[in-house]
Amino acid sequence: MGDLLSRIEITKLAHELNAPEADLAFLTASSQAEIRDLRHLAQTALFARNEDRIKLLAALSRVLPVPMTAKIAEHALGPMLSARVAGALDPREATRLAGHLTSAFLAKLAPSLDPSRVAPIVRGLDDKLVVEVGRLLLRQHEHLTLSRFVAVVDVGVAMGVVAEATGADLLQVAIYCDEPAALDAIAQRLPDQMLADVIAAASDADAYDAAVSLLASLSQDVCGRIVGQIGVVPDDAREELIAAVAHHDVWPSVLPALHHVDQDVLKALVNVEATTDADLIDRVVEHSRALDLAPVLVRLVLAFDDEHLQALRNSKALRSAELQEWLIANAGVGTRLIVPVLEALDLR
Amino acid sequence: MAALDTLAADLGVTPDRLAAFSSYDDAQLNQLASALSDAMSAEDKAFEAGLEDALRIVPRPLRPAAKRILFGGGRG
Repeated sequence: MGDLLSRIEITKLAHELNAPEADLAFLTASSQAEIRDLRHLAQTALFARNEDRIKLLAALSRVLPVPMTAKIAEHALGPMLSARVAGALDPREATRLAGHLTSAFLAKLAPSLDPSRVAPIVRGLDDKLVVEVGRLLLRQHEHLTLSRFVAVVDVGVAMGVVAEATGADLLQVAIYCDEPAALDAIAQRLPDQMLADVIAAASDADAYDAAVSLLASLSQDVCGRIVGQIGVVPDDAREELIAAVAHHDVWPSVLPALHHVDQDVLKALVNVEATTDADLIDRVVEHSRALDLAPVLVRLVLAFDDEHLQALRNSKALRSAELQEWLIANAGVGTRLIVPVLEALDLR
Repeated sequence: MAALDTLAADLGVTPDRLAAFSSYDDAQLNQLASALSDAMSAEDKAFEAGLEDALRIVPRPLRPAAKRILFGGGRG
């Protein structure tokens, strides 16, 4: 997952510096946290550099009529400088000013805003205006910009923007979003069909690593609902998805979600080539044990087809007497079911 | 490690603060420093032009007061 997360951070740094991503690609050797720290340092340095001028422009805006300040913003300063000045204005002044700016200009200005500085301003804006600007950003494929405001706007307002989004849009915004809790609050309100669209978009784009990274950042409830939509993707895509889950070892996020997934969906998900691998099976068994998810492990075993049941015979983890005792004691189906299955698989 | 020093100076931090990036070679660090420096230059130019352009939009009667705010008393 490290490479993917580092690449996402590089995209954000390149956006901050208005530089080609390729020029910064070598930074993939650094961790996500290191690149994020560098981005914050660059952001602070850029803001500090012209702070005096920003304050002067903010002071000028205070003595001029608001419509004139709006005219200066749109026709003299442009979006980037206006975004800088916005961060120095009193939220009430800035909100009044925003009311005199066109939504098209606000959409151009948004990519240069620092959400942490302008959050009170955004929250003071009319909901309709925020939705309108958000939808413009969506049409301009400004997914990175939208992701930065996920935690700033009210969930209800965000849903107004989401209403016009495709699964691919939502996937992109989610990938860039730094605020899993805010993202989760939105995902909770998405209908199943839209979650299915997100999964389908990840499949269409071969973005399995990204999809897995997303699953790992969301709550169990949402993760379970997303996994429950897995039927929309073709067999080979399910294979890739499971391979990505295994590669990044995000079973601890995925396994609890499997508890409530429909058994037919579970069958489609687990009966892929990757899950015939004994090491993968052992990892799943070990994670299930560590998370005390005996019922989930039983559901997985019951979902396996004959070929996969044969593969279970090679599991070292399932041979452990301690593991078997735990499974029998916690599976919730009693020994009469578990023991014969283990015996039939020559594991006991 | 001259490149790391340059980058640190531009970011306004000590080179120690960038220890995580010390394994990169000078060419890579120079590329990073150059991207930052270009971003700073672009902002500087935008601000210089922006202040002048803002003044042009201010109506003539208000311009002396606006000039004093933006450029202090030194400009006529």
